[in-house]
Amino acid sequence: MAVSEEQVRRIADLARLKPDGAAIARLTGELNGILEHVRALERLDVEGPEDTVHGSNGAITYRDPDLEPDGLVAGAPGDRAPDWRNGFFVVPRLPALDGGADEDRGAP
Amino acid sequence: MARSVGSGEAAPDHFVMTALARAQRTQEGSDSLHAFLALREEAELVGRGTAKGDLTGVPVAVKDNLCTLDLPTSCGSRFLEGYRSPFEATVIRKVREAGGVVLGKTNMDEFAMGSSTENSAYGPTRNPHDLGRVPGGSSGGSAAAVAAGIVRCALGSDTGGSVRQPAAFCGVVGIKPTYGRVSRYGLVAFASSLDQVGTFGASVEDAARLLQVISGHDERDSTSTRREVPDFLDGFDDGVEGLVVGVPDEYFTDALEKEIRTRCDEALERLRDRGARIRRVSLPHTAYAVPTYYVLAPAEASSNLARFDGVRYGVRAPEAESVRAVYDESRTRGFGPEVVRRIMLGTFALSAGYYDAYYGRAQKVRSLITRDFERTWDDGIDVLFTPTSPTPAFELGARTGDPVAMYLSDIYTVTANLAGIPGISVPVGSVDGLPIGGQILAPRWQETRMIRVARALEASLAGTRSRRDPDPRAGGEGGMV
Amino acid sequence: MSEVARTATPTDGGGMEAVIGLEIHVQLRTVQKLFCPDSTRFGDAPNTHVCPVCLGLPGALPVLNGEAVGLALRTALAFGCTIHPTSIFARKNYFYPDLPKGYQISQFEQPIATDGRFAVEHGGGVKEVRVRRIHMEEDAGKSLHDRFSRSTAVDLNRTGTPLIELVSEPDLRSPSEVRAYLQQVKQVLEYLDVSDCNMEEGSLRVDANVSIRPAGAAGLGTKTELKNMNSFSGVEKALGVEIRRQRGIVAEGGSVEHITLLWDEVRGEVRPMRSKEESHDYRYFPDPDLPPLVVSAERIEAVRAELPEMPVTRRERFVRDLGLPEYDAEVLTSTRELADYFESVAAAVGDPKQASNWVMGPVLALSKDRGTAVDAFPVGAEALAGLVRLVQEGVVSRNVGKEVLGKMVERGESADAIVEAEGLAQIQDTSRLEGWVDEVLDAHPDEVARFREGEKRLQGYFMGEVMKASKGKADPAEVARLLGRKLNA
Ligand SMILES: [Mg+2]
Ligand SMILES: [Zn+2]
Repeated sequence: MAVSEEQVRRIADLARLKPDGAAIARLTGELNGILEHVRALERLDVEGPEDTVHGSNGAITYRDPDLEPDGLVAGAPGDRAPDWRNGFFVVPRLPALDGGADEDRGAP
Repeated sequence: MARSVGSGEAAPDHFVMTALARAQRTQEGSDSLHAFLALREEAELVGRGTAKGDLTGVPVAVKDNLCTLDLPTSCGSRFLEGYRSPFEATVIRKVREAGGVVLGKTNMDEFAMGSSTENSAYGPTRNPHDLGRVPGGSSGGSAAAVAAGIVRCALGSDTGGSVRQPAAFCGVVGIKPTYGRVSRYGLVAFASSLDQVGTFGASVEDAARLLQVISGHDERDSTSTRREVPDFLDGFDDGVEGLVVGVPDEYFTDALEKEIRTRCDEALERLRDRGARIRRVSLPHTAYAVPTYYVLAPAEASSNLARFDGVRYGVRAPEAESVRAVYDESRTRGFGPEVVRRIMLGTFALSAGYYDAYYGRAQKVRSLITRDFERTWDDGIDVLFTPTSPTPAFELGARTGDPVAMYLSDIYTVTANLAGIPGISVPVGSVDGLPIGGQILAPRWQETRMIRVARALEASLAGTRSRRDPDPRAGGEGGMV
Repeated sequence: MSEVARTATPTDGGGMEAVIGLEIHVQLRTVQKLFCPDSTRFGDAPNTHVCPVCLGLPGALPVLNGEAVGLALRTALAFGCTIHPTSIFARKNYFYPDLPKGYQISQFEQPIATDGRFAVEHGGGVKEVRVRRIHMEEDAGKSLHDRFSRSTAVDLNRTGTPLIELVSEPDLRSPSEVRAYLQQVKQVLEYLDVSDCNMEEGSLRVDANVSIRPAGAAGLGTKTELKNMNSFSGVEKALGVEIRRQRGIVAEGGSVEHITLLWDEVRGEVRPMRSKEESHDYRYFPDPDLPPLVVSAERIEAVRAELPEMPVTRRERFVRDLGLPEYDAEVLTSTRELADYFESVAAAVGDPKQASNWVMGPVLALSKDRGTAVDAFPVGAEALAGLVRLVQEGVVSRNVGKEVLGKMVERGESADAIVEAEGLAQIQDTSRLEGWVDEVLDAHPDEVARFREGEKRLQGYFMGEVMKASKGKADPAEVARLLGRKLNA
């Protein structure tokens, strides 16, 4: 199941990358080359084993409530930001959800 | 290293200044190594490294994906050009508190994605043994800095072999500890379940001592272990008498260059001579390690690199008129081709309709690979011995056009990352003047045993190598500078 | 719009019924954020509670807040969920300027709890709504569009605030039922003390999915998702509008499209979200930075042992054990603070009905005037009990008692002190009372005669005259006793 240029474009869109036409063609070839190699995994029976998703076997531990936030030693949080005004990070205007002023969308 | 520090004649910063001068010399000219992306100024280093500890006065080179306060952290990427972290990596703090001095930041493949350091946005690093060849990667700058005798020890990171493979290519020692042994806080993440900070040394002892300093639990990394850190130099010179060394068939196939196999056989012979028992073993899923790795690592990377969006730091395309354009332009401009390739691959492997076939399946194969190792230890094998890389350092540009060929450079090293076990690469001789590394793999948390075997190998070769300078603050063999 | 909502009953409009499920995001009231030690305080200057972790700086790593896990467990148990011994934090990947890491840490395939249930009282009956899951996740920051003319401002103070998402099965059938469910869920969350539940500050947020189908049918129609509702009444109205819209489509022979709709409170309409916003593929995968969350059976039992009494149980107990009328019990258990206050007063005065009369009457009236909840009422339970005892003992009348309570609120003094200082105590001294009674009877011989001839209702007249003579200070009970004795002598 080779990936098409159309799929590569969709993936680039998801990844917020914008390769030009030539790059799409090149990437399609390269991804298919790599996936061809990865296809070796299809030969294995993977019914038995558990998933390994973490680097070690331990359980999570809780933060010490006395741990302080790691300081931002030099200045404001926006010191490295391309656009920082009045204490805000600033980006080009987003389409507001309700057409009104403040959008308080929150996490989905 | 503390044991020889304090002999007293030279001021502590004499060695730091000497190292700095050497580093500066290797940065310029037609024969430059370009091991460093940034170096401290001489004036800044006066009086540094006086904290009493195991590294007092020792200059340390640091891979550019470890956050430092005094030097930029670019990860070899255009995206983070000039980026200054407002906090420092836990390993850097530990080095400082032990009296070590960060001399500079070393070159690397962009975001640690590569095996040759050619994927740096700031140009490649050259191998001190042959300037026409790569130093390996992704921690190529750190390996070259040690190999060139600029520093005796350096920090790198190893996600699929990025410490061990360049150590082998540059003829130095490189350790990847057990996953969780060293804090990843302040290591810019590539693939979080595989990344570990590792150490380079001009000798096994140098690498082990630096590892001792940086190991241990960190409250800011949920994946760092609360286990007690053992003394990695316990029984350092006790040799290998009675130890069982496994030799996995799957690491000695046709992919391995013949001369390297010969060096490995010789190394095994020397271990046998010193009382080790050598046993052939099988790790049947080894062939699946590279494909597994090249699903899991890019999948994690695609998510880890999503924070590079041009909002809070990094480059932003100035003409971007929408948020979408900020993302698209900043990322497309900021990332080099290999990073784009891996983000694409990882995004695909996680996307709807493909997750099970790629990411899901790779997780299961990762378990099979881990089980191979566990069965081996259960069968009474103490450590495994393998080549570190199927080839010696290759020529600059030789593999840049062929991603899969480049990925296969990692064939012997990715297994340790997938299984979370420690590995060390130690020089076992050379082929046509190019260094060759042998790799020792051990069960989780058994770094001490692994280091002892590496030391035995090193000592067995000592007759063929020059003696190192007894003062650890000084550079290494110094042959190249 | 609200007309529509109010009249939307399960089966009107051609025998179609609505099928509604809710996703409720609840901010947990922890001191610190979920994965970093920054404060969760609301309303401070922008980007002042941020650190490398919640700014998504390169190299930063999450470390879990145990307090948030405790609150999530408490909620899960109260909703009758099965707690999973192992749950997994996953990354939900999408790009948005107020999502610094480019992913939200959430739980996906293995949430902390599933399979709960919640009994909703509505329209005189009780309905069980199944709770599909409760999972933990972190909140995003805020994007503000009115700070700059052509730009969006991003404030990351809220980024990383702990949330639980409580997802119901599509068991609700009407907007008013949804409203009842929401109010009762909120009441339970408040009882549990896991959240401020403040919708204006965004600590409680509701999304709905809704479809219609022929009444009683088993299958489900195509659902739409409704977002951007900022109050319970907004949810009720939006659902009414959307159900009507869907009915209209079906009535005309069309079919409902699976889309996300935004509620516009001002215009009272639902509007489709831009299609671009919708093409999400979240690429969930387990977060390798966070090992599995393991909860022991002992921990679960410890949390269970400390669960507070739930509102329904408490209400039933007030009726059964304290002998309160249903109505009193319902009002008094509406919030945990009120119920606690009432119980303290009742215990101190030893008469639950008296305590209830005082709390439900004057206390709630004064709280309402002051615009505060009962936990901010300046007269504590002990102090109120002191006043109630003075009334019970006849030292002051109930009416004077109410005045005294007003003064207690103003001055923060005890009832005793105020009664004493103002000479408000009723006169019970028999010789003084007899003086007033005799005075009145002597002054009205005709009325006394008429009374003795059987015109008994004149007792009230004499009573009023005596109270007048005493300037209202005579103890009415004692006066009545004396009048009876003298008139019937
Ligand atoms: Mg959610
Ligand atoms: Zn924070």
